[in-house]
Amino acid sequence: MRDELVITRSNLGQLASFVGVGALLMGGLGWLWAGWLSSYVQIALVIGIVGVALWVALTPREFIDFVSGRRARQGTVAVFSVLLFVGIVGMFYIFVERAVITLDMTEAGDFTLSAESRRVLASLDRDIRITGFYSPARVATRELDDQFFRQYEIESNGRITREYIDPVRQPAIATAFRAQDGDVFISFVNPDGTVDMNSVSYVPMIDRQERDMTLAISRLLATGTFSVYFDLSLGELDPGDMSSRGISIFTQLLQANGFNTQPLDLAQLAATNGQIPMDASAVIIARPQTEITPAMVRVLDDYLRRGGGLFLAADYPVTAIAEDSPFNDYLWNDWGMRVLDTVVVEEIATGPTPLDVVSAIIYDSDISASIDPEFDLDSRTQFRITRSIAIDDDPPVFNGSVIMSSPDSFGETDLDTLARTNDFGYDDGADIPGPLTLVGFSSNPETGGRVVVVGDSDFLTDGQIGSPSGNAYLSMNIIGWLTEYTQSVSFAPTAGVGNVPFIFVDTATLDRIVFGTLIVLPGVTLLLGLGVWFVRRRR
Amino acid sequence: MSVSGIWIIFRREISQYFASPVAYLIAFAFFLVTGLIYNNDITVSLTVKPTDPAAVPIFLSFGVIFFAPLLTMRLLAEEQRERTMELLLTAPVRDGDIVLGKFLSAWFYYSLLLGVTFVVYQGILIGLDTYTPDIGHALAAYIGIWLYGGAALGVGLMFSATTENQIVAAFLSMSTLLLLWLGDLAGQIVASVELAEFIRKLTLQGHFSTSFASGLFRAEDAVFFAGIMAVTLFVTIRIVESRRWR
Amino acid sequence: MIEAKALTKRYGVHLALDGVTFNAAPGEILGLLGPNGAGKTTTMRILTGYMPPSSGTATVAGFDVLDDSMEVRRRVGYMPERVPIYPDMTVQGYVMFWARLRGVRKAKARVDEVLERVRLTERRNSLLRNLSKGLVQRLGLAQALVHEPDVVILDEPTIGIDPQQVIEVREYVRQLGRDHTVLFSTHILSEAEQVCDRVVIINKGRLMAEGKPEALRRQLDPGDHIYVMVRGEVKRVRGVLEKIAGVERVETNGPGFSVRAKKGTDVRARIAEGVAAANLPLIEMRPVAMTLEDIFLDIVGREG
Repeated sequence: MRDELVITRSNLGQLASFVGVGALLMGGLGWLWAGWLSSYVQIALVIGIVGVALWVALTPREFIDFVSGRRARQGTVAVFSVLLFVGIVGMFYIFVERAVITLDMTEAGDFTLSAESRRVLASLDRDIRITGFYSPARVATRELDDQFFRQYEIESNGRITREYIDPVRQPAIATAFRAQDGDVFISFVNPDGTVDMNSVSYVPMIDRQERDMTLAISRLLATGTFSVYFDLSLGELDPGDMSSRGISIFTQLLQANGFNTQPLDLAQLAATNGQIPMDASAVIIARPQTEITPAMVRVLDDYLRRGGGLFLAADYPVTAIAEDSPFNDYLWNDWGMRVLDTVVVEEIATGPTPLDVVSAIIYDSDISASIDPEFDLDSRTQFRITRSIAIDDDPPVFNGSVIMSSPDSFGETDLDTLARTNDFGYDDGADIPGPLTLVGFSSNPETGGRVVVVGDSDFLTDGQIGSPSGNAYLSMNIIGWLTEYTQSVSFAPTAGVGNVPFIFVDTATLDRIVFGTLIVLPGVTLLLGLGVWFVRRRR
Repeated sequence: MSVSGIWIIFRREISQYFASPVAYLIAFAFFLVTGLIYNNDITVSLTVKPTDPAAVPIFLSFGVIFFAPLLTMRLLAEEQRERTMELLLTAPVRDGDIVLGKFLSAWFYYSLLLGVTFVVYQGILIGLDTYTPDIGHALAAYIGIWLYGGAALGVGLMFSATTENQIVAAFLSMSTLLLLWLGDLAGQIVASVELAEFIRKLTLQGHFSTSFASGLFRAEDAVFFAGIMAVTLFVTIRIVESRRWR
Repeated sequence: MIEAKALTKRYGVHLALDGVTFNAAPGEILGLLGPNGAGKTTTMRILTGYMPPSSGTATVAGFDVLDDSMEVRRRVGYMPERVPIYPDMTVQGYVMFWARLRGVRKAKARVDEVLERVRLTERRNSLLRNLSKGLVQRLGLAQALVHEPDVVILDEPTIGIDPQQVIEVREYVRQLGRDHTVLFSTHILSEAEQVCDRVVIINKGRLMAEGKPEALRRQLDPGDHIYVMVRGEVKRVRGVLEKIAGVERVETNGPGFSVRAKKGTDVRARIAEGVAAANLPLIEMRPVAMTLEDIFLDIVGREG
């Protein structure tokens, strides 16, 4: 007997119920999602209503049962109870999230601010804003960074606040900051709560995020408190000159670190019996072309007695700072240093030519920080045709050498021949045997005055300051030492940086580890499984 | 809820895990794959950097998408198919006890597998006298993946309750877990940061990859995982209960 | 012990039970008799606390199955029609599990006892997946009895097992009746007759008849339809039979004859006498087993 397909009213009613309710649901969701009644939503809702109406018409008993019977009640109760439960759990979660309860479990304390950072934050007296730019694609990075930034906010008792901006949604603000996706900036905050755009400073986030941020904050705080003055009255190198012979990069580096750079007119001060400004943390005389007069020397001396810092970069040819010039006499008498009329020659050339003098002997000091050619060759200094500096063994104040040439070098004193024929050779008795001081320092603990003298100034120029990098380190270190900037902004490396432990095992141990974890452990498990399987079969 | 009811169910399910060759197969795969990850991490770190304490847990944050449903797929689906569910529901044991007992057995088994890898892998590193691993970081990562796994098992159990067919249960669970894992990448396609953040906060990865995996314990992440466990178990109990009035 | 009042159960549109009312006294073996799909299993599920009725009430041992479901479940031992097993458990493990679940103190001793009773002791370490159907049935019984419940509910316990074991099970149920109240379902009338103190007949979710088996039997099968086997020439035997008072129809039925008498007339004695008087050896005489369908048609016919 053939089975006939019988479609009963109840089947139709059920179908209508599914279609109707389904359509209503989709329509409702669509409405919520889009926020308005699009034509699709309308169609879905109409189908839904028609479906439900059919359902009621075809199988009224079932509909009533569904809506009011025990099944319905139980079902509705179950759904509501689940929603309620989810709501309670959700609220509890939000509550705990607000409370910010965290525990840093890493050994190196990756998520805990060091004592150093906390010290800096505790001394905060101004509001600082951390502005981070994160697009939707970088939500995870934002969360990771936020772990730190949250700590800053807490430790600074709210003086530091965080703000996150989507550079895609708000490109105007991003442009104002010159920000790219993922960049972080800090700045001061205006009284009305907005960012003080003048103080915006980029935070380079490398790996040690805490260190980067704390350093940036320190620099921000230091901004404006340190001013260095570049004298331009003697034809010195020009901070505004962006050619390979200018020192624009040096100047920008100083500015990036929060230094104020200003021009100085020593000649005029000398003529008018004026003073070097009180806010000058350091004075830079980079390759003067004309001699420093005694009047200028007086101005400088007066400044140094007030606890100032002087950086003199001399150079070849000797057009100024001659060995017997008034300034050199002053330098020798008061500070135990003199720039000699010699050119340092490395017979066994360490640089491209024997006249390119590479730092051979380096004394440990703030001025030579990070300069370690044995560890990193690029951190050496290299001076092209440099004069040497005599250091008084029995000085009136504390002095010394920072960087010297090698013992195989000598100081060529016959500068005329050198100028004419580029000839040099060690003349016993006339020339000075190495090692020769290339960078010398002197400091007067009573007055607080400090002086650094370098026999070369090419290393400061845009063309040479970056190659090698040691030149840049030296230039910044000198200013840092002179101004004692490093004192207030230094950041002692926490345990971990420098002595990051790496893993080392010999091949025999490695083999054993592989054997144990890849053969023994899984193997034993597999055997146990087989054993169980056999036992099972037997029974 | 009666503790003894939960315990009885728990005991039975645990004995099933230890008496079933399939469970050993799953354990075998677990050890093999995590072992590969572990050894690979050592190899790439050799003389260059410290080992990644969270190497295995980070892999597992993807791996449990497959492991968890495998452990849970039979728990309730089998009862329905073999009709032992009918008998269970006529025993003087609460529906909640049944669900909780099964869940705890799955979580226990998972904890066992996880614990073995922690002890063995970290133990080896500690045993080396040339190296000290960051145990705190590893511990944080493992606690995170332990809770993460618990949440995944809850999801798996929930789907096991909806069907008689183990394969369907496994498939539904894996799909859901995969979605919860992918949601982390929502930021790539969504236009608004708030929405991306919100979606991310709903995923399992969102509460693991930037906190536990980095060695940071955040209370709200633990609450999230516990919350997922609680909600899925709640729903599962309702589903089991519904057999009675359907 | 068991009281069911107007039990109704609806699965969607399908009405499985329609106002079923019956009682079982303590220590009574009550049979639920009906064809497949009659509603026996549904009734049992309600009484075991598995699912609630759509309307109506039921109490077991004084506890309402809805309000005090837990108490009911504690006092009921249930053996479903197909005993469900966990394939990877042992016999001992299985019964121990249910013992513990049902709150049996000193489970080990009790399990040994009940395994002994169902004669599964030698197979206690066998895996369930390796047991034959008959053994599984015994296992089902063990699990239902391990907690010494007041009420034992058995759903078609003799289905699909070999005849020897069927007899064993029936005997076992009779024994059970001494200390427990037993609710026992079947679709075989004779089985209900043999085992139960009282029988309730269900069909299409409705209560059809109720009473002691003999009474029902007499009511339903008053001896007016007999199967007779007599040695002798067919025509002669037929002639003898047809002449017996009250006989309405005689048909050949295999090697013998199917004799129908007027409704309600018990012609068995007369047949015996008549055959003897004709000097024909009476080889066999037995009532033609009435199928349940016959019974229902009868009942419906009578009511109609």
